[in-house]
Amino acid sequence: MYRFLKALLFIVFTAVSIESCNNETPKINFGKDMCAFCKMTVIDEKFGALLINNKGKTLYFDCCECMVNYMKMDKDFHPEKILTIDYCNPRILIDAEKAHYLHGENIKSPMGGNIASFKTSEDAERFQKSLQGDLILWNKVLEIKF
Amino acid sequence: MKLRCLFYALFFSLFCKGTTVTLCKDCPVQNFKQALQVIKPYDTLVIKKGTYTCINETISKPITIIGENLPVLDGKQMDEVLVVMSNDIHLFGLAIANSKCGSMKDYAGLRVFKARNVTIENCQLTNTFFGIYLSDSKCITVKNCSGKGAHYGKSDTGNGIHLWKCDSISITGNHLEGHRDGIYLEFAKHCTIESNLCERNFRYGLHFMFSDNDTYSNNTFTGNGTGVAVMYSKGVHMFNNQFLNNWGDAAYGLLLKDMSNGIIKNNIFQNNTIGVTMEGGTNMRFEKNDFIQNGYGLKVMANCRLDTFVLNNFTGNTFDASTNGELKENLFEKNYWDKYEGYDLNRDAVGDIPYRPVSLYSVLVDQMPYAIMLMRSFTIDLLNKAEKNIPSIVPETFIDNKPIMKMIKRR
Repeated sequence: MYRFLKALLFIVFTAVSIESCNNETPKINFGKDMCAFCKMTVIDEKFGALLINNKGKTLYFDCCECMVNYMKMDKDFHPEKILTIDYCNPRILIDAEKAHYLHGENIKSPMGGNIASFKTSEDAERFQKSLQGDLILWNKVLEIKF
Repeated sequence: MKLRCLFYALFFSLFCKGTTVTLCKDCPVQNFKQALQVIKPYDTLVIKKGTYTCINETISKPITIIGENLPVLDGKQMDEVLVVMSNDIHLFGLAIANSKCGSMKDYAGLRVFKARNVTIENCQLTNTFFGIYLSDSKCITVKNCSGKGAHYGKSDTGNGIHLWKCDSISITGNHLEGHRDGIYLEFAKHCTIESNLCERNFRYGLHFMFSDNDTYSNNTFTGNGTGVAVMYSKGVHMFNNQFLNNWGDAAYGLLLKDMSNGIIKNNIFQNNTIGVTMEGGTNMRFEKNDFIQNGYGLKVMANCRLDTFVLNNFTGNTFDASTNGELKENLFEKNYWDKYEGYDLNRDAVGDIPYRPVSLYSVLVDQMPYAIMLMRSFTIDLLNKAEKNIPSIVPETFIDNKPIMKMIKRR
């Protein structure tokens, strides 16, 4: 009996502790969330981005260009996590600062910024063959005027 | 002499007439691909009733296709169905069905690419990813067509009628349902969009991006995801449209973002969470519109300048108007507000005291959304009355100096 109680206590304790530090992976509700910059509904699953600040506030964007524009506009937001969607894996969010970007007029991103993000440089290069455009990294993306 | 010339012209025109190729199950020409090979430029292809396989077929000659009793061109979900790549092509009465769906490429039921003078009339699109996709084209008419999205009610559908880099397109009398956007325009100039019905689309009924000098009139937009959006465009005119039943978290009748020099006249905004929301609008003119039974009638952000609002009716809205700061250089005049409690002593049909459409409570709700709990309570009435007598929080400049006493009748 004592052993059973101990086991039960252990299970309850772990469950509670897991619950309390439940750090859910952020995701975008396509068709529901509204872009914080352009006010459009986020719907294209190949594009999309997300900002989380140190207080846990999440902002959704329909594409990278909107996120970059927002970051330039609202300097007080202090984003802690900057995420963007992998063009090859729709709906999957990746670290924007480590992502590879393809910028060129054949890429029809929702707000006309013509930019797509990729997790690996191989993917980006593969798409560069069909879509052309320039391969760039995050620091260059911030310099583009969308 | 002239008469004789005319006679000869008419006589020879009889011989110039193109021939007709007929496509049916028992004809010499039995499939669509073969028909396209047989046919010569300026001929007519008549398709009898039936279902014909048509996977990514390209029409590259100027021909006319007439469908009798709505023959079906079936794409079997393999690729696009029909591609138009020549000038002077006219399509009547075709049913186009089953294009491929996919997120990497925009598969369309009917694609028109780099063409001029094309007519698409009485066509029916079912189960297509994008319905009609017009790109790099000029002088195209899309008339009395209907479209129903492939994934009805899911987010991964394309647009009903999609325009990209187009000029002088006329879209008339179409019915679009269950797409991502009913009609979508990107870089499209001088287009006329008339008498269409866009309902239950997943995102917008009509969506403008970077499209200048267009007019849309007599359309009805009802029950779309978030309404109609007109963004980053100049000189878009909107007449006699109806924006109905857009309820939801971020839903509105009409969203205007970074717009200039537009005229919005004789429209009806009814049963929307927000009737019109405007951000970054310059030189816009709202005239003779009806805002009926919306949550918010009008939401004008503080970055709007030089806009005019005259002769509009505001009736039965929970909040007539709302803003997020001080409005500058905007004119509100001669509107009818049903919440106006002023008087008209000199009987000139214009109220003697100005009306402030933004109530204290709407400012409050804007900053603290949970204050909505107190709606229609005694406390709020009291607060609003106090604010009316000693204005301190509501924006000073959001004011109608000449409110009209009686509702303006239009119909």
